[in-house]
Amino acid sequence: MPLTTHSIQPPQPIALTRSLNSMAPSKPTSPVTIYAVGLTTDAARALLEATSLAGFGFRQYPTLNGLLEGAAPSATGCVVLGSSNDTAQDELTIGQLTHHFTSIPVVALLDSTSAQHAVALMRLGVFNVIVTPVSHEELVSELTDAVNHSLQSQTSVDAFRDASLRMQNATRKELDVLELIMSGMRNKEIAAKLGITTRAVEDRRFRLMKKVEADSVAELVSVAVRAKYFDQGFAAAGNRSRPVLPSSSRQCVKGIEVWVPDSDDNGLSLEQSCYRDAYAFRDATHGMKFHKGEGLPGRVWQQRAPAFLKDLITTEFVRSDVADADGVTTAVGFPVFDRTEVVAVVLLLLDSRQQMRAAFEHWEYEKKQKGLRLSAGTYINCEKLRRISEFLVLPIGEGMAGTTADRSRPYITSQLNEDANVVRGVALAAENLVSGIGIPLTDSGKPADDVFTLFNSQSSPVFSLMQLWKPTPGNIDLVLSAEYADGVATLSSQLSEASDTDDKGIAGQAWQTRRPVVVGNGSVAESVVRCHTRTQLSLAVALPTIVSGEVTAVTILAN
Amino acid sequence: MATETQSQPSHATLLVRYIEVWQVDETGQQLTLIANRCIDNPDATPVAEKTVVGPGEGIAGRAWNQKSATVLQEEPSELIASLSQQAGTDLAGVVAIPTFDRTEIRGVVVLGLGTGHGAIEAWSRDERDELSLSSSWYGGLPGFEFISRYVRFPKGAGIPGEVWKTRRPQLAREPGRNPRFVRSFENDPAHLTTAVGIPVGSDSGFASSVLLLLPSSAVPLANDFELWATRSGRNEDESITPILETVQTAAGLFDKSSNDWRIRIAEQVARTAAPQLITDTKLLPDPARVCLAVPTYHDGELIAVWTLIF
Repeated sequence: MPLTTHSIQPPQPIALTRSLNSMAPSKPTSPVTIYAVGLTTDAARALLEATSLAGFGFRQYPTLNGLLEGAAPSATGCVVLGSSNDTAQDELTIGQLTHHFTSIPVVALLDSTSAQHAVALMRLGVFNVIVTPVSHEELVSELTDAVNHSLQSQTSVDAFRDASLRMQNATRKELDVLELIMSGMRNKEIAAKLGITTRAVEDRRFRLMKKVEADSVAELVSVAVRAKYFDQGFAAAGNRSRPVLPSSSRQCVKGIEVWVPDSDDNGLSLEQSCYRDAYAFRDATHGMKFHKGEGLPGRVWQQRAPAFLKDLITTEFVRSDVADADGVTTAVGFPVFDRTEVVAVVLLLLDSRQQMRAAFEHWEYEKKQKGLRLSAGTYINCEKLRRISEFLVLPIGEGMAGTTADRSRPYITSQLNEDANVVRGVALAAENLVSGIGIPLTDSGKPADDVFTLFNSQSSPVFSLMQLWKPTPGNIDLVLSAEYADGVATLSSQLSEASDTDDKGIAGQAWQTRRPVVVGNGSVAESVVRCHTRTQLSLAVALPTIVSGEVTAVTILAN
Repeated sequence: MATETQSQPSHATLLVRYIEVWQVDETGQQLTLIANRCIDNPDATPVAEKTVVGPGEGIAGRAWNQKSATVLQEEPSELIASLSQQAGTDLAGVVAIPTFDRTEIRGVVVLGLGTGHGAIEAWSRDERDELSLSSSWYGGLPGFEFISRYVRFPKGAGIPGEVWKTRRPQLAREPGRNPRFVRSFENDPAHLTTAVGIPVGSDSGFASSVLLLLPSSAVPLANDFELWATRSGRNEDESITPILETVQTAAGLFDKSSNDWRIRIAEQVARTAAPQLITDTKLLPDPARVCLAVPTYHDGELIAVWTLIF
């Protein structure tokens, strides 16, 4: 719906500038961008003029998917949406936008003939509705309000994230004491209530304050309130089910790339990719090609084995400059085999500065050792695990790697300290790693000679959703056989309800194409069939496991 | 000699309940029991089933024959039952440690273990030229025990690998936080306080590394463990005498700066090149205590004496 040009006066250099300056927000400390989608050319042009005068950035997208692919969830600013006047369509669009962005409000642009639709839009959760025609000054004023709201929300999100991370290691017993402190009880009363000594109450309070790095009880309470323990209730928080952090706090995965050999086997080209916030990296990667041994993808291809680069700035990573600019600090690559050929190289691009803990490993079978030994790996904030892992030999059928090799099929578990198949349970628990997956790499039949393992922490998992899909006998259907979301296993009874036969989901696509499939941002919700839907997802990859030429499983890793 | 303390030492909660010290006789064909003691009941005179054994006989003869440390837990039950009878107390495990002088075994120390928290491991060189767990005793460390079966130490790695490389006993404090101890995890429930590695082997070949993991003061191995680094010096009459270079203690029972008694014991050990159970009240700072002193040789030189003090 175009804005009628007579309603927006061409900017008068002096007067308009003065009035705009008085209305412009104080200069934000983070970049502010106005995102436009579904606007006509005239409307977009007018919006561009308004935003540039106000000092905001401006990006226009022809489609919603384009916006969701290109804009980071943690961005600040606002989305200006040209309404379709179709409530159902608008509901879908607004739902996707609010799901994607953590603190960006949606402003709908509507013409005067659709004023009634404005009420429906407000009910759908838009921040404001601008009914055209509107003056230039009013437009800027509305945008400024929306931007200020975004900035305030982001501050709250940051505070919530920071507080949640500080509280993440609180035990059930410590939270019990904190809850009673916050209810106004004194130590003696708390001791009587919990059936412990006063000294025990003081010890738990002291330990919790140390974990949270609080200098006083008041500060401890303040952190708990900001982490929304008061709102959500301590029971939910203390049951080892951590509060769902906004997706921006799990942005350790910055991107996933799938590189495939050219038809003449001369080089690797990027076939699929998705990125989060890494625009420069994405743009720099466009059109790149790697020969065997060149760059990380080329190295994986040549070695036919995983490769790891923990600190991209100090290594030979070809794209290290843009990686640095976009916060991509670590890269992990592993091959996908079909019979004896490497048919794809998958690259995981990570930001390991996000207080994350994770481990990525390559285990290789050694005949002399009669077991699998660690060939290479990268450990993020779990040095002790690295040290013990270097000295282990895992026989076939034992440990994560040995179990995976024995089955020649991916193995997922979240009970690392209790699973008899996990040898390093104590070590993993000591590093707060709660879930893991082993993926066989080589298509050499049973058992596999090479295994890739990955371990997640609870608070900042590399992949908050891990699924294992298996074909039914006769390859008629693909069914979900295991699912772990936020470190919790989905019940078997729920798994049987999920299948992916019609290739709508990426599991089915990977099964049919026998190749990895990657999806990002707005497409993940509809592309990953799952039982557990609480987790917000932005990136996902489906990996086929091929044994003796047959797809025996598809693994989905999503964040 | 200054008396450090006149109090009766508490043995009630020590892991080691029984000690035997065997020495190879002059013929080199037999092991002779030269001393044994019940820690729980020091006034008792334990009667050993045999005081002379050949290679492979009993626990001491087995360690002698294998030229390697041996740790038994529950099995073979008849050996442990027999030793329990001699000790006059129920034993949950036994460790036998041969001591070498150059290429020859000079003696075997046998320790009978009660129940409690801790670990005693024997790491032996395998066909891949790495140290793997050959025998062990664990008390209350299921996670630790489980993962240890899968560990291999190349030379220089971990405490066992360090002992192999240096051929010297090693003492590491706070294993849970010590980077030298690769199996350390801060959530270890047994709260291990000290790790001790002891080399077992001759100059011609390193046999095994014994690891003693000393738990918290709740159930310690002994009242104290001391490690003395020594080197050879010469007396005025040109006879060789051990010189103390450093003293490390686990519990600090005795003053580290008063070393007269330590030198005397080291001299006694050096005279026989074999382990000694020191019960002479004149030799120790506290006459109520006993001391098991075991030599470590390398290239024919006494390089260390490790002791358990009860």
